[in-house]
Amino acid sequence: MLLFIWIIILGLLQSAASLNINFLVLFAIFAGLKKGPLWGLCIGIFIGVFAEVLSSSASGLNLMLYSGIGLLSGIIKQKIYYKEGIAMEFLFSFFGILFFYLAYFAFTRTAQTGVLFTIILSSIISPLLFKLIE
Amino acid sequence: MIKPEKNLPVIAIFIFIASIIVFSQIFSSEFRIKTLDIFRIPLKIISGSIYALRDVAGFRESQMENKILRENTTNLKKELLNLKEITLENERLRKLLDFKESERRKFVPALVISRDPSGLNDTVIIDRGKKDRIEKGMVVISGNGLAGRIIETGWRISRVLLITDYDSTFSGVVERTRDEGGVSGNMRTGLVMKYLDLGCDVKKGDKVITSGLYGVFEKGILIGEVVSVESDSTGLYMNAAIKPEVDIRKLEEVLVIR
Repeated sequence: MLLFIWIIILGLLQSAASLNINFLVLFAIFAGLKKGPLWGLCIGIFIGVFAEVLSSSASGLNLMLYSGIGLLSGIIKQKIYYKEGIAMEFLFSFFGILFFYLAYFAFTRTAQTGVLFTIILSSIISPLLFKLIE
Repeated sequence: MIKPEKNLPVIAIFIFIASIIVFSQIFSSEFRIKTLDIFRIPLKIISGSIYALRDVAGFRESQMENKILRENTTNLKKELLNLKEITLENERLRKLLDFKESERRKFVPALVISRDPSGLNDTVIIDRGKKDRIEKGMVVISGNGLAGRIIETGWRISRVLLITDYDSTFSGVVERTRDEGGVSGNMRTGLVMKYLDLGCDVKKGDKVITSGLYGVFEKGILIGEVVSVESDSTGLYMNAAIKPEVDIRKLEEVLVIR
Protein backbone atom coordinates (compact mmCIF):
# COMPACT_ATOMS: atom_id res chain seq x y z
CA MET A 1 0.00 0.00 0.00
CA LEU A 2 2.79 2.37 0.95
CA LEU A 3 4.49 1.69 -2.38
CA PHE A 4 1.40 2.82 -4.27
CA ILE A 5 1.29 6.04 -2.23
CA TRP A 6 4.98 6.62 -3.03
CA ILE A 7 4.26 6.08 -6.73
CA ILE A 8 1.45 8.64 -6.72
CA ILE A 9 3.36 11.26 -4.70
CA LEU A 10 6.62 11.04 -6.66
CA GLY A 11 4.74 10.67 -9.97
CA LEU A 12 2.87 13.90 -9.29
CA LEU A 13 6.12 15.59 -8.23
CA GLN A 14 7.86 14.42 -11.40
CA SER A 15 5.01 15.78 -13.46
CA ALA A 16 4.42 19.07 -11.65
CA ALA A 17 8.05 20.00 -11.14
CA SER A 18 9.23 18.66 -14.55
CA LEU A 19 12.18 16.99 -12.83
CA ASN A 20 15.03 15.33 -14.69
CA ILE A 21 14.44 12.14 -12.73
CA ASN A 22 12.13 9.44 -13.99
CA PHE A 23 10.72 8.11 -10.71
CA LEU A 24 8.03 6.09 -12.45
CA VAL A 25 10.48 3.88 -14.36
CA LEU A 26 12.55 3.46 -11.20
CA PHE A 27 9.46 2.23 -9.33
CA ALA A 28 8.74 -0.33 -12.07
CA ILE A 29 12.34 -1.59 -11.92
CA PHE A 30 12.21 -1.67 -8.11
CA ALA A 31 9.03 -3.76 -8.20
CA GLY A 32 10.57 -6.27 -10.59
CA LEU A 33 13.81 -6.54 -8.65
CA LYS A 34 12.49 -6.73 -5.12
CA LYS A 35 9.12 -8.41 -5.57
CA GLY A 36 9.58 -10.69 -8.60
CA PRO A 37 8.33 -10.63 -12.20
CA LEU A 38 4.62 -11.06 -11.50
CA TRP A 39 4.51 -8.24 -8.96
CA GLY A 40 6.80 -6.23 -11.24
CA LEU A 41 4.20 -6.63 -13.95
CA CYS A 42 1.24 -5.78 -11.70
CA ILE A 43 2.89 -2.70 -10.20
CA GLY A 44 4.10 -1.78 -13.70
CA ILE A 45 0.47 -1.88 -14.87
CA PHE A 46 -0.52 0.43 -12.02
CA ILE A 47 2.31 2.86 -12.90
CA GLY A 48 1.36 2.62 -16.57
CA VAL A 49 -2.27 3.47 -15.84
CA PHE A 50 -1.18 6.41 -13.70
CA ALA A 51 1.24 7.64 -16.40
CA GLU A 52 -1.49 7.28 -19.04
CA VAL A 53 -3.60 9.78 -17.10
CA LEU A 54 -0.74 12.26 -16.74
CA SER A 55 0.66 11.87 -20.24
CA SER A 56 -0.65 12.86 -23.65
CA SER A 57 1.09 10.11 -25.60
CA ALA A 58 -0.67 7.41 -27.63
CA SER A 59 -3.13 5.38 -25.59
CA GLY A 60 -1.62 2.20 -24.11
CA LEU A 61 2.01 3.12 -24.77
CA ASN A 62 2.89 4.02 -21.18
CA LEU A 63 1.04 1.00 -19.90
CA MET A 64 2.98 -1.31 -22.19
CA LEU A 65 6.37 0.22 -21.38
CA TYR A 66 6.05 0.42 -17.58
CA SER A 67 4.52 -3.03 -17.17
CA GLY A 68 7.05 -4.46 -19.62
CA ILE A 69 9.95 -2.96 -17.67
CA GLY A 70 8.56 -4.30 -14.37
CA LEU A 71 8.17 -7.77 -15.86
CA LEU A 72 11.52 -7.77 -17.64
CA SER A 73 13.57 -6.63 -14.65
CA GLY A 74 11.97 -9.38 -12.56
CA ILE A 75 12.67 -12.06 -15.20
CA ILE A 76 16.26 -10.91 -15.71
CA LYS A 77 16.86 -10.98 -11.96
CA GLN A 78 15.35 -14.46 -11.52
CA LYS A 79 16.45 -16.23 -14.66
CA ILE A 80 19.61 -14.49 -15.84
CA TYR A 81 21.79 -12.71 -13.29
CA TYR A 82 21.51 -10.58 -10.19
CA LYS A 83 23.73 -9.89 -7.21
CA GLU A 84 22.56 -7.71 -4.32
CA GLY A 85 24.33 -4.38 -4.20
CA ILE A 86 24.36 -0.74 -5.22
CA ALA A 87 26.24 -1.39 -8.47
CA MET A 88 23.62 -3.86 -9.67
CA GLU A 89 20.75 -1.51 -8.79
CA PHE A 90 22.52 1.25 -10.69
CA LEU A 91 23.03 -0.95 -13.75
CA PHE A 92 19.44 -2.22 -13.78
CA SER A 93 18.17 1.36 -13.46
CA PHE A 94 20.50 2.67 -16.16
CA PHE A 95 19.58 0.03 -18.73
CA GLY A 96 15.92 0.03 -17.66
CA ILE A 97 15.51 3.76 -18.26
CA LEU A 98 17.59 3.57 -21.43
CA PHE A 99 15.27 0.81 -22.67
CA PHE A 100 12.25 2.98 -21.78
CA TYR A 101 13.44 5.95 -23.84
CA LEU A 102 14.63 3.79 -26.76
CA ALA A 103 11.29 1.98 -26.88
CA TYR A 104 9.45 5.31 -26.61
CA PHE A 105 11.51 6.64 -29.51
CA ALA A 106 10.84 3.49 -31.56
CA PHE A 107 7.08 3.93 -31.18
CA THR A 108 6.74 7.70 -31.39
CA ARG A 109 9.93 8.95 -33.10
CA THR A 110 10.12 11.46 -30.28
CA ALA A 111 13.38 12.35 -28.59
CA GLN A 112 14.55 15.06 -26.21
CA THR A 113 17.98 16.60 -25.81
CA GLY A 114 18.06 16.14 -22.02
CA VAL A 115 17.26 12.42 -22.03
CA LEU A 116 20.83 11.23 -21.36
CA PHE A 117 21.06 13.53 -18.34
CA THR A 118 17.76 12.14 -17.05
CA ILE A 119 19.01 8.55 -17.50
CA ILE A 120 22.28 9.20 -15.63
CA LEU A 121 20.71 11.24 -12.82
CA SER A 122 17.90 8.73 -12.30
CA SER A 123 20.37 5.82 -12.20
CA ILE A 124 22.58 7.60 -9.67
CA ILE A 125 19.74 8.20 -7.23
CA SER A 126 18.16 4.76 -7.77
CA PRO A 127 20.03 2.87 -4.96
CA LEU A 128 19.06 5.61 -2.52
CA LEU A 129 15.44 5.57 -3.66
CA PHE A 130 15.26 1.76 -3.47
CA LYS A 131 16.63 1.83 0.08
CA LEU A 132 14.14 4.52 1.04
CA ILE A 133 11.14 2.59 -0.31
CA GLU A 134 12.29 -0.71 1.12
CA MET B 1 -4.20 -27.65 -11.74
CA ILE B 2 -2.33 -24.49 -12.75
CA LYS B 3 0.86 -23.99 -10.76
CA PRO B 4 1.74 -20.29 -10.68
CA GLU B 5 5.46 -20.96 -10.25
CA LYS B 6 5.67 -23.25 -13.29
CA ASN B 7 3.38 -21.25 -15.55
CA LEU B 8 4.68 -17.85 -14.54
CA PRO B 9 5.78 -16.69 -18.01
CA VAL B 10 2.42 -17.72 -19.51
CA ILE B 11 0.43 -15.99 -16.74
CA ALA B 12 2.61 -12.87 -16.95
CA ILE B 13 2.33 -12.59 -20.71
CA PHE B 14 -1.43 -13.17 -20.52
CA ILE B 15 -1.85 -10.38 -17.92
CA PHE B 16 0.48 -8.14 -19.92
CA ILE B 17 -1.44 -8.48 -23.19
CA ALA B 18 -4.90 -8.45 -21.56
CA SER B 19 -4.17 -5.29 -19.56
CA ILE B 20 -2.83 -3.45 -22.61
CA ILE B 21 -5.91 -4.37 -24.67
CA VAL B 22 -8.38 -3.51 -21.89
CA PHE B 23 -6.80 -0.27 -20.72
CA SER B 24 -6.05 0.99 -24.24
CA GLN B 25 -9.78 0.79 -24.93
CA ILE B 26 -10.66 2.61 -21.70
CA PHE B 27 -8.14 5.42 -22.06
CA SER B 28 -9.87 7.80 -24.40
CA SER B 29 -8.60 11.37 -24.18
CA GLU B 30 -11.83 12.39 -22.41
CA PHE B 31 -11.42 9.67 -19.81
CA ARG B 32 -7.82 10.70 -19.19
CA ILE B 33 -8.58 14.36 -18.61
CA LYS B 34 -11.57 13.56 -16.40
CA THR B 35 -9.41 11.27 -14.25
CA LEU B 36 -6.68 13.89 -14.11
CA ASP B 37 -9.23 16.29 -12.63
CA ILE B 38 -8.92 14.29 -9.38
CA PHE B 39 -5.26 15.23 -9.09
CA ARG B 40 -5.85 18.95 -9.75
CA ILE B 41 -5.46 20.05 -6.14
CA PRO B 42 -2.26 18.07 -5.30
CA LEU B 43 -0.75 19.16 -8.63
CA LYS B 44 -1.63 22.77 -7.90
CA ILE B 45 -0.09 22.56 -4.43
CA ILE B 46 3.15 21.01 -5.73
CA SER B 47 3.54 23.38 -8.68
CA GLY B 48 2.57 26.38 -6.51
CA SER B 49 5.25 25.46 -3.96
CA ILE B 50 7.87 25.07 -6.68
CA TYR B 51 7.01 28.43 -8.22
CA ALA B 52 7.20 30.03 -4.76
CA LEU B 53 10.65 28.49 -4.20
CA ARG B 54 11.79 29.77 -7.59
CA ASP B 55 10.51 33.24 -6.69
CA VAL B 56 12.50 33.23 -3.43
CA ALA B 57 15.63 32.15 -5.32
CA GLY B 58 15.15 34.93 -7.84
CA PHE B 59 14.54 37.69 -5.25
CA ARG B 60 17.80 39.58 -5.89
CA GLU B 61 17.22 39.42 -9.59
CA SER B 62 13.72 40.79 -9.04
CA GLN B 63 15.11 43.77 -7.10
CA MET B 64 17.30 44.72 -10.06
CA GLU B 65 14.41 44.21 -12.43
CA ASN B 66 12.24 46.40 -10.25
CA LYS B 67 14.72 49.26 -10.53
CA ILE B 68 14.75 49.04 -14.32
CA LEU B 69 10.98 48.74 -14.47
CA ARG B 70 10.53 51.92 -12.39
CA GLU B 71 12.64 53.84 -14.86
CA ASN B 72 10.63 52.38 -17.72
CA THR B 73 7.36 53.36 -16.04
CA THR B 74 8.26 57.04 -16.21
CA ASN B 75 8.85 56.78 -19.94
CA LEU B 76 5.71 54.77 -20.45
CA LYS B 77 3.58 57.35 -18.64
CA LYS B 78 4.62 59.92 -21.21
CA GLU B 79 3.77 57.53 -24.03
CA LEU B 80 0.43 56.75 -22.41
CA LEU B 81 -0.59 60.39 -22.57
CA ASN B 82 0.09 60.41 -26.31
CA LEU B 83 -1.81 57.16 -26.75
CA LYS B 84 -4.86 58.51 -24.92
CA GLU B 85 -5.05 61.33 -27.37
CA ILE B 86 -4.75 58.91 -30.28
CA THR B 87 -7.50 56.70 -28.78
CA LEU B 88 -9.88 59.62 -28.54
CA GLU B 89 -9.11 60.57 -32.10
CA ASN B 90 -9.64 56.96 -33.18
CA GLU B 91 -13.03 56.81 -31.46
CA ARG B 92 -14.13 60.00 -33.19
CA LEU B 93 -13.09 58.64 -36.56
CA ARG B 94 -14.82 55.29 -35.92
CA LYS B 95 -18.06 57.10 -35.17
CA LEU B 96 -17.66 59.06 -38.34
CA LEU B 97 -17.23 55.84 -40.34
CA ASP B 98 -20.03 54.04 -38.45
CA PHE B 99 -17.60 51.20 -37.69
CA LYS B 100 -19.12 48.25 -35.85
CA GLU B 101 -16.91 47.18 -32.99
CA SER B 102 -16.05 43.50 -33.25
CA GLU B 103 -16.78 41.18 -30.37
CA ARG B 104 -14.12 41.68 -27.74
CA ARG B 105 -11.96 38.72 -26.89
CA LYS B 106 -11.71 37.58 -23.29
CA PHE B 107 -8.53 36.35 -21.72
CA VAL B 108 -8.67 33.70 -19.04
CA PRO B 109 -5.53 33.57 -16.88
CA ALA B 110 -4.38 30.06 -15.98
CA LEU B 111 -1.58 28.44 -14.04
CA VAL B 112 0.54 25.64 -15.47
CA ILE B 113 0.23 22.84 -12.92
CA SER B 114 1.79 19.87 -14.66
CA ARG B 115 3.85 18.66 -17.60
CA ASP B 116 4.22 15.34 -19.36
CA PRO B 117 6.01 13.02 -16.86
CA SER B 118 8.22 11.40 -19.50
CA GLY B 119 9.33 14.81 -20.78
CA LEU B 120 8.91 13.47 -24.31
CA ASN B 121 5.73 15.35 -25.17
CA ASP B 122 5.52 19.13 -25.02
CA THR B 123 2.14 19.33 -23.34
CA VAL B 124 1.12 21.06 -20.12
CA ILE B 125 -1.89 20.92 -17.84
CA ILE B 126 -3.53 24.21 -16.82
CA ASP B 127 -5.91 24.79 -13.92
CA ARG B 128 -8.86 25.98 -16.02
CA GLY B 129 -11.47 23.89 -17.76
CA LYS B 130 -15.06 23.64 -18.90
CA LYS B 131 -16.15 25.41 -15.72
CA ASP B 132 -14.38 28.54 -17.02
CA ARG B 133 -15.86 27.96 -20.49
CA ILE B 134 -12.57 26.72 -21.91
CA GLU B 135 -13.04 24.68 -25.06
CA LYS B 136 -10.93 22.47 -27.26
CA GLY B 137 -9.03 24.42 -29.91
CA MET B 138 -8.76 27.68 -27.95
CA VAL B 139 -5.49 29.59 -28.30
CA VAL B 140 -3.07 29.83 -25.37
CA ILE B 141 -0.61 32.71 -25.15
CA SER B 142 2.00 33.82 -22.65
CA GLY B 143 3.40 37.33 -22.53
CA ASN B 144 3.51 38.51 -26.12
CA GLY B 145 3.74 35.19 -27.85
CA LEU B 146 1.89 32.09 -28.85
CA ALA B 147 2.23 29.16 -26.44
CA GLY B 148 -0.12 26.51 -27.81
CA ARG B 149 -3.72 25.37 -28.04
CA ILE B 150 -6.17 23.43 -25.91
CA ILE B 151 -6.46 19.78 -26.94
CA GLU B 152 -8.41 18.29 -24.01
CA THR B 153 -10.73 19.87 -21.48
CA GLY B 154 -11.87 18.55 -18.12
CA TRP B 155 -14.19 20.27 -15.67
CA ARG B 156 -11.45 22.28 -13.97
CA ILE B 157 -8.33 21.45 -15.97
CA SER B 158 -7.23 21.40 -19.60
CA ARG B 159 -4.34 19.97 -21.57
CA VAL B 160 -2.40 22.33 -23.82
CA LEU B 161 -0.40 21.16 -26.82
CA LEU B 162 2.58 23.50 -26.90
CA ILE B 163 3.79 24.87 -30.24
CA THR B 164 7.15 23.12 -29.79
CA ASP B 165 5.63 19.61 -29.71
CA TYR B 166 6.30 17.38 -32.72
CA ASP B 167 2.53 17.05 -33.27
CA SER B 168 2.06 20.81 -33.50
CA THR B 169 1.88 22.12 -37.08
CA PHE B 170 0.30 25.36 -38.23
CA SER B 171 0.72 28.10 -40.77
CA GLY B 172 2.93 31.12 -40.17
CA VAL B 173 3.96 34.22 -42.05
CA VAL B 174 7.14 36.28 -41.89
CA GLU B 175 6.02 39.75 -40.78
CA ARG B 176 8.45 41.76 -42.92
CA THR B 177 8.44 39.80 -46.19
CA ARG B 178 4.93 38.20 -45.93
CA ASP B 179 6.42 34.81 -46.89
CA GLU B 180 4.22 31.94 -45.75
CA GLY B 181 5.29 28.55 -44.48
CA GLY B 182 4.33 25.64 -42.28
CA VAL B 183 5.58 25.97 -38.70
CA SER B 184 6.31 22.71 -36.89
CA GLY B 185 7.45 21.98 -33.38
CA ASN B 186 10.96 20.67 -32.86
CA MET B 187 10.76 20.05 -29.10
CA ARG B 188 13.37 21.84 -26.99
CA THR B 189 15.31 23.07 -30.02
CA GLY B 190 12.41 25.37 -30.95
CA LEU B 191 10.41 25.61 -34.17
CA VAL B 192 11.02 25.07 -37.86
CA MET B 193 9.31 27.03 -40.61
CA LYS B 194 9.16 24.83 -43.70
CA TYR B 195 8.30 25.29 -47.38
CA LEU B 196 9.56 28.83 -47.79
CA ASP B 197 10.26 29.82 -51.39
CA LEU B 198 13.88 29.43 -52.50
CA GLY B 199 14.11 33.06 -53.49
CA CYS B 200 12.62 34.44 -50.29
CA ASP B 201 14.29 37.32 -48.48
CA VAL B 202 13.83 35.94 -44.94
CA LYS B 203 16.68 36.96 -42.66
CA LYS B 204 17.87 36.31 -39.14
CA GLY B 205 15.91 38.48 -36.71
CA ASP B 206 12.68 38.56 -38.74
CA LYS B 207 9.51 38.19 -36.69
CA VAL B 208 7.12 35.35 -37.53
CA ILE B 209 3.39 35.61 -36.83
CA THR B 210 0.43 33.27 -37.30
CA SER B 211 -1.16 33.52 -40.74
CA GLY B 212 -4.66 32.52 -39.68
CA LEU B 213 -4.88 29.94 -42.45
CA TYR B 214 -6.46 26.51 -41.91
CA GLY B 215 -8.19 27.76 -38.76
CA VAL B 216 -5.65 26.47 -36.23
CA PHE B 217 -4.69 29.87 -34.84
CA GLU B 218 -6.11 33.29 -35.53
CA LYS B 219 -4.08 35.76 -37.56
CA GLY B 220 -1.38 38.01 -36.18
CA ILE B 221 -0.16 36.28 -33.01
CA LEU B 222 3.59 36.51 -32.56
CA ILE B 223 5.30 33.11 -32.83
CA GLY B 224 8.97 33.99 -32.59
CA GLU B 225 12.08 35.19 -34.32
CA VAL B 226 14.08 33.66 -37.18
CA VAL B 227 17.51 32.49 -36.00
CA SER B 228 18.79 30.86 -39.18
CA VAL B 229 17.69 30.12 -42.75
CA GLU B 230 18.92 27.24 -44.89
CA SER B 231 17.69 25.17 -47.84
CA ASP B 232 16.02 21.86 -47.01
CA SER B 233 17.40 18.41 -47.90
CA THR B 234 15.56 18.31 -51.24
CA GLY B 235 16.84 21.72 -52.27
CA LEU B 236 13.34 22.77 -53.37
CA TYR B 237 12.46 24.93 -50.39
CA MET B 238 14.02 26.95 -47.60
CA ASN B 239 13.68 26.13 -43.91
CA ALA B 240 13.91 28.72 -41.15
CA ALA B 241 14.74 27.85 -37.56
CA ILE B 242 12.59 29.92 -35.21
CA LYS B 243 13.22 30.77 -31.59
CA PRO B 244 9.79 30.90 -29.91
CA GLU B 245 8.84 34.20 -28.28
CA VAL B 246 7.65 32.25 -25.26
CA ASP B 247 10.15 30.30 -23.18
CA ILE B 248 8.31 26.99 -23.15
CA ARG B 249 10.50 25.48 -20.42
CA LYS B 250 9.74 28.31 -18.00
CA LEU B 251 6.03 28.50 -18.67
CA GLU B 252 4.19 29.23 -15.40
CA GLU B 253 1.23 31.47 -16.19
CA VAL B 254 -0.66 31.58 -19.47
CA LEU B 255 -3.70 33.29 -20.96
CA VAL B 256 -6.39 31.37 -22.79
CA ILE B 257 -8.13 33.41 -25.50
CA ARG B 258 -11.83 32.69 -25.20
